[in-house]
Amino acid sequence: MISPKSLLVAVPVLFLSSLGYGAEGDFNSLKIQDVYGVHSADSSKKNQNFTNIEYSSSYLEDHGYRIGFNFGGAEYTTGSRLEQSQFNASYWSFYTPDHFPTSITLFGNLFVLDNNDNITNTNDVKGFSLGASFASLNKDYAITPAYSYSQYQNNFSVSQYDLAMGFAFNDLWDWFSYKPAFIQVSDINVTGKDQYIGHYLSWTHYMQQPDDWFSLQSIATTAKFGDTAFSVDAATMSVYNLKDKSQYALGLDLVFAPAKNHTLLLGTGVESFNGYLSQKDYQLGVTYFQYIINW
Amino acid sequence: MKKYILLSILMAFFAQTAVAAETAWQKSYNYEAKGKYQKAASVIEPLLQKGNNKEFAWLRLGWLNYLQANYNDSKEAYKQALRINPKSLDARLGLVKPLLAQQRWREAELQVKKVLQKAPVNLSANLILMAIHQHNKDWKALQDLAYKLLRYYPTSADSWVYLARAYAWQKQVKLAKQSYQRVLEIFPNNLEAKYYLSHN
Repeated sequence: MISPKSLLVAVPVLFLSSLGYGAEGDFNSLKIQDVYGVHSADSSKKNQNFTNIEYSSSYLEDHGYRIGFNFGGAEYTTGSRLEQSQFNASYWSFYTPDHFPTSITLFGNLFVLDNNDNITNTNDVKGFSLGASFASLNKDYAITPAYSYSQYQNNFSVSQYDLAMGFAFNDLWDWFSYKPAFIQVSDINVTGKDQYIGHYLSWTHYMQQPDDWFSLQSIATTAKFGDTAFSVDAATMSVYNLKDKSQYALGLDLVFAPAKNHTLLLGTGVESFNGYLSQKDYQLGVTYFQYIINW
Repeated sequence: MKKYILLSILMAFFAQTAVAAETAWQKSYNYEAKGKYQKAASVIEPLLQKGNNKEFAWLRLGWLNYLQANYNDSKEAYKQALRINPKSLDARLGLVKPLLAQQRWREAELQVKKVLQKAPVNLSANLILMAIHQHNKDWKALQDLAYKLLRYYPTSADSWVYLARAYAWQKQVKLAKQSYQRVLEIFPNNLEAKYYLSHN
């Protein structure tokens, strides 16, 4: 398991090494995120907390990479505790072919996840995502097909096919996106179902006068419906390694710019699950913050 | 006698090359004027091998490829010109055009700032940097740059428009109106200025 101690060493090393290579045209960012969740009474868990540290670097509009560590855990109602950590790495490269109506961003992600859950075998997960994003040059629409593969223990695997579609309106001050995600699991006996389809919606409004209200830059609402399990978010590299079925989710994100090159995201949301062991529905309420420094 | 003959042959050769080159440039300009950009470029291409002004040939190819929306070829041509003459501000400002067309704002900003290191008050470079600030919605930076530039180019209507926009976005209506008034003094029919002044 990736220990928090090793992360404490790795992250500063990454940070310092990036400073050493601060070449002309390099853009770097460091993101720290914490997600705190409280489970409703019918859940086998009480609360959970996960911290994510991510460093990313890009060279102009040409290519970039990011490396992230996620660690934390959940408290069970029995008093035991789940400890989990995840490492992920991504690479992207950007192309603007002549006489083609869009720019193309090719991306690939890798992740490794480990925890101490020996009951439902959600530990020792490895996987990758591959995708291509096609966006118009004035960024008024984008289409992003992606494929994700996750390998679990006992030869259990999950394939996911996404097709994220987004468009801007109101002179680019608003962005709407819809992503259907088709998830196929290799063994129907694991959850009693071999296919899932999730629908993800989001609407982001960018503030025209961002200095008006505590430097609020944007406000976004997100919604998800359709039962899913073992899903992977290829954009954020979030891995839902749960046998509990996610039923629906709602969220609200506020993005602030407290200083130049600093971004603060405050978010809250609720997600409904059906427990794999308990077969009962329960809710998870989350609040999270994300702080990003760019240089 | 042999020397004279050799000299005469060489002179005739160079003179012929010069005439041929002049003809190629002239042909290229004529084609460009007719909107035949590909033909305008094709008559320049032989000069990249044997011409005595390869730098200008690359600059011209960069421009003609830009006009044809061959932005990657345009960038490469301007970079070739920069390899021949790394100090060329023409080449660097030319390179910014296809970069902006491809919405490569960061790279465009990098190139513009390199120009401004050598020529801090170059109007073309500063106008591009103002466009980049506007794209980034960095209204304070846009305001500061436009204000600074107008001390050097008080008749630059574009700079007055950028200054007015920066004030308008920061809700400094009085200053925005004053700036748009200045725009109208230079271009009495500027629609943006007229619209803002009639609605504020």
